Amino acid sequence: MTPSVSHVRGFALGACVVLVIGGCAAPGPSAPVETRGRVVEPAVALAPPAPVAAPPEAAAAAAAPEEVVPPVEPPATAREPAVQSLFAAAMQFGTRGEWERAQAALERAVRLAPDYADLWRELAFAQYRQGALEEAGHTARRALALVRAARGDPGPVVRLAERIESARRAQAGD
Amino acid sequence: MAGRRKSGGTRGRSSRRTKRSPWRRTARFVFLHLALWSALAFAAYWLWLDYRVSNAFEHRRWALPARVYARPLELYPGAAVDRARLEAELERLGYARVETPRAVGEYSVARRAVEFHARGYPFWDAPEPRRAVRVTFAAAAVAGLVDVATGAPVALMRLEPAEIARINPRRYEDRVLLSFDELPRAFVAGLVAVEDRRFFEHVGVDLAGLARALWVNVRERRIAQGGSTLTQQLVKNLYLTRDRTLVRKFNEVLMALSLERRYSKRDILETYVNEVFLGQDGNRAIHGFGLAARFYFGRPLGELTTGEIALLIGMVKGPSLYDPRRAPEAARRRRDVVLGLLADAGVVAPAEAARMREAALVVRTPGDGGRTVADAFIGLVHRQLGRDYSREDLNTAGLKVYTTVDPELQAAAGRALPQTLARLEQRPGAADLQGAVVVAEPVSGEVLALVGDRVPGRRGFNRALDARRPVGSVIKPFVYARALADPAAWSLMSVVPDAAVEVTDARGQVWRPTNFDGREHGDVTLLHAFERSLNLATVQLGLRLGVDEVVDHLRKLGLGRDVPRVPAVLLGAVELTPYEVAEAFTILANDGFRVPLRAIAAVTGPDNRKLTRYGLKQRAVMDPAAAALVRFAMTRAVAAGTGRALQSLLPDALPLAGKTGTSNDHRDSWFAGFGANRLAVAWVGRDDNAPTGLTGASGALRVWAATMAQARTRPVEPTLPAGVEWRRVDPALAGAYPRDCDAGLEIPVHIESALPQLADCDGRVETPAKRGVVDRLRDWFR
Repeated sequence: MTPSVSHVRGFALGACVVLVIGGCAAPGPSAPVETRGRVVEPAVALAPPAPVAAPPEAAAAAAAPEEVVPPVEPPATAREPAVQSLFAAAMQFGTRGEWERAQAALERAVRLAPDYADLWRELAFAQYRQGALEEAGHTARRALALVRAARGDPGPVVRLAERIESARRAQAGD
Repeated sequence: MAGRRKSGGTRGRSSRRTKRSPWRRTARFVFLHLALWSALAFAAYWLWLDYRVSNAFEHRRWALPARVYARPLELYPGAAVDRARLEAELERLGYARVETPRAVGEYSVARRAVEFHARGYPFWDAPEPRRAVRVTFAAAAVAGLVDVATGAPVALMRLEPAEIARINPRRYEDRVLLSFDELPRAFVAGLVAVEDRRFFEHVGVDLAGLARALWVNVRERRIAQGGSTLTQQLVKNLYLTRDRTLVRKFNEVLMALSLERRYSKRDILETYVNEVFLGQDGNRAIHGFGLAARFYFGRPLGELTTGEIALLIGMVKGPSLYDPRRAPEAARRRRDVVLGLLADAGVVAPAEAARMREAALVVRTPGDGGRTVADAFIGLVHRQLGRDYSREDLNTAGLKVYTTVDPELQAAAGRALPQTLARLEQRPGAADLQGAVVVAEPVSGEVLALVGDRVPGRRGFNRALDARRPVGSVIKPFVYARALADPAAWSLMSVVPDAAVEVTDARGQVWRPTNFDGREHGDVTLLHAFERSLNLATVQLGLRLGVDEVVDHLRKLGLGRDVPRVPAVLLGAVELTPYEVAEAFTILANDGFRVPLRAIAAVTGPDNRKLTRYGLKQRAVMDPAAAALVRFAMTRAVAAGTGRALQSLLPDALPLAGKTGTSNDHRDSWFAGFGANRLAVAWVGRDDNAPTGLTGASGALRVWAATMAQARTRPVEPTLPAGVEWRRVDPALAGAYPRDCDAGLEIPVHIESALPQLADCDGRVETPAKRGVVDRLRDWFR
């Protein structure tokens, strides 16, 4: 049977469509923009060290009455300008709501002063504010262990731990 | 419809037409269908090839290259960085040494100071500004740090991180990746001149080149010339098999055209340069000019001479034919031919080409295979990239991976292991030793160095990550911790018998453990049993705790879900990798908090904006008091026990906590230990698991010490957690002195532990109930 002109036209049309699609297949994704070699000028330089007041110390409640527990200073490393400057930077980031940067600064500080309980407490808070509740809970525990080891006032850490715990329960309950 | 015949002269033409028309129309019908369908088929086929090309090329194109950085050097007053270390780092970062630094990237050195103009760096968390600083040193540490412009002291600064590798973030490949911009101009010109003269002009296929090759081949009646463009060669390399059929050639042409349509000449050439096969090293293929340059000449491509580059270009046509090691004559001839081609093409001056031809071809002897020392560490980076970052993240081009490695320590560990093993092999019975070292920062879990092979640059089995071996006595700290977590029942002065014991398991098999010296030591304190790593006492302790208790405890600590429930576990019948052991020991270094080890600090895109980041993590898994007591016992093991060789090897870092480990028949030698800022595990053994004759002390401890001596290790801190206090005791009498005495050994004791009390500072016993035990101890001391 010989095809009618309409048949031929139909096929031609179909083939053209296919060829056109093939020919116009999307070109490859655009090449990445090279940004190497361009140093981005920093927006914020680390602030010069601001003296950090030592946390208020109170005698441990568990001390026997005849024993006078002397208030314990933060570890020597806490006073180092490097640690103080990172602590101050973290506080600044925190007030601006940049909790990830605050956390990064505190992690750097903790490497220099691993026994400084206040750092761990603030780290727990930064994690809490980012919603990493499980991590925050563990970090608060570390802070608490250090505070107790230094016979400091566990109050602030305990309150933070409670906040974290209730946030966790609320999240789990939803 | 049959044609209608018409009569009549005036219709002659049409009647002729209609007479032929059935055949003609059928033929036309067939022809049209054939044409259309084959055009369709061809189009579909090409579409499919096109898809394949782009799919696979994306995979490679966007994977090139991620830049890997080491940890940046931090400077602050008190930092344990001496002048030499800072100088080395500045050199590594490409700073220029001058008399007076005026421009960014310059530095000068005085007797106790270094002044440099820091480049600054856009760290994602806190960018480092450009500034000129002056660093002063005292006693191998930074004494002061001052901003030269303002005179103000600088509390803390970070140098730029050193780039240590370029990798394909999604696949662990053996490549030294080069980006187009860093290819020497002469190299590009030379490659194009020799392999594909019209590369920058053609569309993927060079018809003129093909025609000429066809002519030559026909004339010579063999396949003499390829006529393939670089694009075609790349296609062949990436996608197709090596058989030389017409079909394959057809595919190759189509795919080359597709490639050229989608990607720029830059992209294609860059990928080609990094993919082309250039040799074989055992079972490792040498792909890419970057790796080939290091493999044959031991230097980066950018540092090669024209003659060396000419040889590499010449090897494209036949990497084994022109292998300079196996066929030096042929290689030299090929190099000379290529030099001639380069001169003809104007890439190289004829005089230079002639001069290069005179030069001998010097090839580096295969040693570390041209890889960097950080190879095992890069392997770890790959695994953690794959585990912690999404596919979308890793598909970003120009990734920057900021790792935790300390390049100086990594290099030192990479030297310490082979040097120590070589020394150990001088002992009788020790041969073909292998080893692994893991060094980490306890508080953060950051991996500072990782060595998985005594040939650090060799890519192969990474023993630090994958050698699963019985840990032997290295398990004991965790067993003792289980006891010490119950302070009412156990303290370091608690006494157990170091006496023979038989344990029968459910199947009726009898286990009779022995001590290393084959003797029984009578009643001993936990502290003493730990110091001397006494097996019998440990088993006795473990049986009193209950094997199930101990196994549950070990599993909870994260020592593996498959810790077997057998008494032999008490002596380390548990298989772990050095990496896993290191992670376990973070628990003891962090007062009961387990810190996972990590090799990556952050990953950013090329715009320096952070992708996902996994910060410091930790889990409370052990009672801090128990951890502190075990930590102390470990310092005693180093001070007076099986680890005491460290006293002479690392005198300035004491006290250090450490534990030796030796598995059955001396097949595995372990040492795990830490100071305040460094934790490390060393393993020594044989790949075939044969006995080495080495103990933990005679083998792995030496590797550990050689590494840690260069790690600026600080002593363990004497701080104790709440509920634990220092008491002076008489270790022989296992009793505590009154508090104002100066005698005996100071050990940590939990406030809930009841120690026998000695009556006075001379050691007379007060509590008669404990007399029997004390008498036995006294006898033992006589």
